[in-house]
Amino acid sequence: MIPVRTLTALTLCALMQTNLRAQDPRPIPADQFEKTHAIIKRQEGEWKWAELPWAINFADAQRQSLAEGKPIFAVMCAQGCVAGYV
Amino acid sequence: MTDPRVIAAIQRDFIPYAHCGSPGLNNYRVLTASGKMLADHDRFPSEAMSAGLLEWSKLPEAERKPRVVTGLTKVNDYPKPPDPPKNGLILRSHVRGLQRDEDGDLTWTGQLAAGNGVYSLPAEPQLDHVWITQAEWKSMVPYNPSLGFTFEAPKRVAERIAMFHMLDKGLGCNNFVWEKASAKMTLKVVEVTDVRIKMDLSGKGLIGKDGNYPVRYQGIVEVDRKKGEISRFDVIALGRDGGDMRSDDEKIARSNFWYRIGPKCKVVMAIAFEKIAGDKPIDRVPPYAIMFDSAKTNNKPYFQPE
Repeated sequence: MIPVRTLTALTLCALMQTNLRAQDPRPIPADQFEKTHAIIKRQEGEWKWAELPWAINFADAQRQSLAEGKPIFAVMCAQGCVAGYV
Repeated sequence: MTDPRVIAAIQRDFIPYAHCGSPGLNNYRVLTASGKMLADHDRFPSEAMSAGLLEWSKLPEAERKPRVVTGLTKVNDYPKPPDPPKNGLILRSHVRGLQRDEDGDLTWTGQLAAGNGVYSLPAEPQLDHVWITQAEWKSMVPYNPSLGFTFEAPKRVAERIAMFHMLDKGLGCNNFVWEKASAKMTLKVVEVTDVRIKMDLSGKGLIGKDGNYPVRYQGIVEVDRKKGEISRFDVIALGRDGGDMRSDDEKIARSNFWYRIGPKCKVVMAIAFEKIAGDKPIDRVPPYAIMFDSAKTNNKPYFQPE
């Protein structure tokens, strides 16, 4: 016969494992993967400014500015880069 | 920057330049090719643009007209960002929290609340790039693949993704690094043809301040056998249901963002990764952690030593 203390400990362990499993992220069913991947990604019409032809190297912006006769519009971004993470 | 009139004006009248990494400095500037500042504004791009164009119009015509480029003025204020690793793999990450509804389906949340919830922003994804070296991605290409062959992805890659790319401001994540992150990713060959190897990617990461917030990795990695290259790297990182890292009081603090979700829904961390070509300048923006120099700030270099 299993002692009561052992049974109690086993029950507690089982409960804790159930709780841990409840905290685990749920899997995405294989037939839902493509759809889920697609809805997380940037959609048509989002971050329109990201479609601008940003230069990230100042020398490239200088060259274009001289060749096209236009001033440079620079975005200084403390949070990384306006053309990247926002 | 989301105003279509501003976007159209940038395209029409300016050369857009995105400086990569200006810790502590947010502003908009109009510059000449020699680096002379014509105007700037801390909050509104349109203000900088209109003032800048006015100053531009005052410059001598010889300075404004298009010309053949024979040399460039050296400007030290705008250093060149680091290049991606040679022949490396670049992934774009799209960070967009989702909500799990009563039926268990994942759907878009409402808007992103800010300023104590007084205003909202579109819940558009936060973007970043993952850099993977040639040696690292090559080690994910099985030499002699057979169905069911299973192997571990490089630990450095799994941990880099967990440490630097599991970040969602809408869920109360750190700014750019989880110092106690750990992760493991496994690849399993599920299809082999003359032209392609298809693999399922699975794995688990632990992130958060105490390294105990679980994230599940699931994905599909494909190899173009003719080119000997990874041609597809579609991976999702998914957190648990009810995944905001803050208490209700913490999340509505003035400077925080959080996702507005539907009744009986639970917010879920969701991050999608995909391979990009890397041939446009915007594709070569360094990972956020590199711009923030995680090696110096947190003693966590983006490329951890072997």
